[in-house]
Parts: sequence; C-alpha cells; structure tokens
Amino acid sequence: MTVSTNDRRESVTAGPLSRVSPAFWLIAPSVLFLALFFLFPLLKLVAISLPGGSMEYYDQIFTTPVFLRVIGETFRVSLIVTAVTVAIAYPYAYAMAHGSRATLLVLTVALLIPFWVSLLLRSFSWIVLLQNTGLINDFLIAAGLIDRPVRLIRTPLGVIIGMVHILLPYAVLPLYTVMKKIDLRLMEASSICGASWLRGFARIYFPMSLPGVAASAILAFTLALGFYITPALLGSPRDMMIAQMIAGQFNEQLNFGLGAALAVVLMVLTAMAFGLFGAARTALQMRGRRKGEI
Amino acid sequence: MRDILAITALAALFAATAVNAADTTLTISSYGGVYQEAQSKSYFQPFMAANPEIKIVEDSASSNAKLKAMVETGNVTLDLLLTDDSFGLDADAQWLEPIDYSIVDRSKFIEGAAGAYRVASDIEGTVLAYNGEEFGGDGPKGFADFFDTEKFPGARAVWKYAASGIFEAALIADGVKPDALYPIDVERALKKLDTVKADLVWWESGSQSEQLLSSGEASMALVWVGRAVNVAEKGIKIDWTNWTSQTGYWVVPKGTKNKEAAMKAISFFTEPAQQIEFTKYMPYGPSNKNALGSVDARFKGSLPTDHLDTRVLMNADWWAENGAKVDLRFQEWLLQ
Repeated sequence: MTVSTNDRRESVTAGPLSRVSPAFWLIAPSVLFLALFFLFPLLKLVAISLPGGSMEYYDQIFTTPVFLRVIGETFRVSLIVTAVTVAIAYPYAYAMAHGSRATLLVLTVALLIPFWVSLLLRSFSWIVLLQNTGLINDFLIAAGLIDRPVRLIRTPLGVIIGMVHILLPYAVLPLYTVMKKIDLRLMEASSICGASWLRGFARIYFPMSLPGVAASAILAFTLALGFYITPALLGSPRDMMIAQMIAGQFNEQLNFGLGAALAVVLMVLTAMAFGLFGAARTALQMRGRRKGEI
Repeated sequence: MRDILAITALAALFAATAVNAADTTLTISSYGGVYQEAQSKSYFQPFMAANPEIKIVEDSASSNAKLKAMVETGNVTLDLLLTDDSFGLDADAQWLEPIDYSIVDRSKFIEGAAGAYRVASDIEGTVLAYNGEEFGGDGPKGFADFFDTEKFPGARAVWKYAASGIFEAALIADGVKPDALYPIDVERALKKLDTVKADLVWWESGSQSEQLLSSGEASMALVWVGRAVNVAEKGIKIDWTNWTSQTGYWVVPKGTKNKEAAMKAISFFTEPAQQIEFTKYMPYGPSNKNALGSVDARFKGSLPTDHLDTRVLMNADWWAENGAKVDLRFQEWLLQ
C-alpha cells in the first residue's frame, strides 16, 4: 500500500530539482546569505583560534584565573540582569496587553523611543543621571534626603540599571505577544468558580504566559552575555564582562588568536545555556501536557 | 602612410590613457574628529594642491587591528595610517613597509621620532589635569601629588590601559627616577596604585575623560593633552611637572600599491610649514625640530613640545615585549 503511494508521488514530481520542497527555494537566499556572511566568518574565527591546530589559546584561557573569573562574572551578571529585566517586563507587558488603548500607546512609545537611540548614547545618558554629581544625587541632596552622594555609578548596581534598561524592549515584546493571546474570560471563569484574583493568576494566567517568559528570558540572557559598552561605562573594573576582554585582545594586544578563542568559548557557553533553557522548556511543556490530560 | 598615422594616433591615445592611469589615489586613515580635520587642513589639502596627480581619500578611524587584518588577508585598501606608541615597532615588521629614508629626510626629526617603520606625525602627551576651582591656586604638582589623597582628596580618572603611562606615573610617585623606570617593576607599581585604588575612576574613551573632568566627577585625571585643553574653559588646569609621552606616528601597511606616494606624503606632512599650520588647530607639538620654535601662538605653552624637559619618555620597545603579560596582571589587579 505505502509503496504504491510513494510510487505515484514520485511519478508526479519527476526531475531532481522539483523533488526539493518549494519552501526550500523561499529560504535559499537567506541560507546562502547566512552561510556567506555568518557561517564562513564564524568558521574562520574558529580557525584563527587554532593556529596550526594548536590548542594553546584554549589552554591559556582555562589555566588563567583572570579569564575564568571574568567568564564566571559575565554569566552571573547576565543571570541577575535577566531576572530583573523579566520581572519588570512582566507587569509592563501585562499592562500593554490588557490595559486601555491609551495605556498601550503610552507604554509602547515609552518603550520604543529609547530603543531607537544608540546604545552608546543611552549608556552615556545613564552616566549623567547616576554619577556622584549627577541628576539623581543632586536632587536627593537638594531635597535634604542625603548629605553625601550615594554611589550609583561604577558599581554592579549601575551596570544592572543600564543593562536592564537596554534589554527591556527585547523582554517586553515577546511577553506582550503571548499575553495578548490569553483569553481573559478564563480569569472571569475562575473567579466565578470562587478563586481569588491571585489564585486565578497563579493557576491560570501565569502558566499560560510561561512561553512568553521563556522567550523573553532567553533573548535577554543571550544579549546580556555579549554586553560591552554599558559595563565599561557604568561599572567598576570589577564588573568587567568577557566582551571587554575580547575587544582588548583584538584592539589593544593585537592578539587575534586569543581574542578569537575567547569569542569561541563565549559562543559555546552561550549555546550550552541555550540548550539548557530549551531542555527546561521542553520538560515544562511535557509536564503541562501531562497535567492537561488529567 | 595612412596606416602609420593611425597607429601613431592610437599609440598617443594609449599613452594619454596611461598618464591618466598613473594618477594615484592615496587612502589615509587617521583618528577622525577635530584631530583629522586639522590634519586635513594642514596636511592633506596642501599636499593635493602641490601634487595634483595624487588624490587623497580620507578614512577613519585608524586601528592597528584593522591594519593587521588587512595585511594578513592580503587585501590592503589603506596606504597610510596613523598609529600610536604601541605599534610600528621593529617587532611589527611583518605588517609594515620600512620608511624610505631616501624620500623622507631622517635628520629633520627630533630624537626618537624616526624609526625603521614609523615616523612621528605629532608629539602628544598624557598630562595631569585638575579641577582648578576645587583646589584654587594650590593644585597638585607632579605624579607624587596625584597619589597623595590626603593633601588632594577626590576621585582620580585614569585610562584603563596598562601602557597608558599609569605604571610609569606610579613608580615616579614612589620615588623612581625617570631614567631608571625600565624594566618596569610591575608589582611595585601596583602596590603604589593600591594606595589610591578606591579613588581611581577608569576612563576608556577620550570623551569620557573630558566628561569626568568637566562634570566635577573627578578632581584630577591623567588625560591626553588635547582633551585637557578642550575643557580648559570649564576651569580645568594642566600641571606639566611630570607628563608621559605619547606620539602619533605615520605607518605604511605592507603590500600597498602606492608605497612611493605614501612616502612622499609622509615627507610633505612632516615639513615645518605643515606642522606649524597644524598647531593652529591642535595642542600637539611638531616632530620636525625646525618647526619647534615657530609654533602658532594659539596653544603656545600648552604644547607638549614646550615642556620636553619634564617629559617622561615611555619605552615602547619594553611595552611591545612585555605588554601582553603586564596587561593580564593589570586586569587581574583590577578585578581584585
């Protein structure tokens, strides 16, 4: 039976090219573009990090405490920033998805206008606000709330504030798309059944918004790992992230091999983090599905 | 006969084309901003006026990493680049054309300005700049005061770069004589830096250093002299008791098709007339010793070359050899 169906299909779509799915031809230009301008340079980068097949740069990275410490710090800061970003993005996206049209407009404008301003400019603006002689400290001193400037800049707090602000749009938008599709009548139904708003939220709304939370967390985390300018401007030297070290190896030390090896390490670790996120998400979905069956 | 005429005409046509093809385009990369504008006015435009067959195309910003990558991939698109102390040494021979001293007159340069692969374009410096209003007439004098947080409290801004001169400044503050700095005693310098670590603020771009000084965020700073002069009207003063040398150099990437034109340009750019014109726009001193005495009045007194007697000459060769190692130790110290 199956054999004959296959035969018939093949006889209809004769010729080697037409056997390829039409979707392939649609994505072919993008695949070619990525192969040429992304995959090829990426492989080249890997090749630079392995001069003559030697692992010396990788050995150096994994035996030098400075590199390991900065890599660890990069992941630690990125995790904190991701948690804070998603925590702020969640209610923000909720208000956008379920508020009035005016709320949606105001929140979208407030979110997207800074998004279009260059990252460097935004980081510099935060200096003006956060520095000891900056607007926030000047205001607090003038108001008599403090008599010496609070240290906001050149601290981990400064880095987190700056990074969260830059990542917020990336976290809000995926959350908004998911929340927009959640049917609020389900919440009404839960309250009819006697559940408090909080209980309804915890049992119905929040689980349904989880795909959005996962998407925004993944996006924020991956972008955070590559941050460079913001920690340099708003943090202390102790808040150094790996991208700064990579840039230093390329631009100052002219050590392309070591710089490339650091970049490859960052990429592999990011891919692993991605894999972990993905596995956790799949596990969560499986659990959800099993629950759904009951 | 007619054939011969036709052939002659054709040959003449070809010759004319050949002359046109000989017209050279010289692509020069500098650091952009007011600096490159000043170079354009005092170097590039007069050069094109004097050499109509050579056209200069400007590019920015110059980067040692870009030059290296360009030569390594065999795709040399820049003919002449400006670089800093860290590059253009004998150790970088594989990426550079040697300076052709049959075209460039080596004897016109001040000491240390003419190397095998680079020629100084201007003499810059990293200076101690401080907030004049904060300290009144009694500002810090020299690197020892820079490290004296009791007499001169407040934040100090420093370039976050091991070879910025900060190690030299720390050692001089610790009593080392300028001629005994090298080889740098890294641990001794870091120990001295530990004494002010809590007051140090690190800058990573010239504009950031200006911002730190002019906002009052930092009471004093080690900054490029051009940046300190930029914020002079905000009350920022320069102390010339000690300062570390910094230099802009011309280098020619290996494999350029316009090597001869590039050498010709270097020779022209470092003539007294051009270098004096340059001091109209920038507070950087000339590298040509015949230009030293005739600099423009605008920045007279603020030019590094007006203070050559107190200059701490950085040893670029030592840094080229030990820079990578010291940088790692420096990063480690920063993280502590």
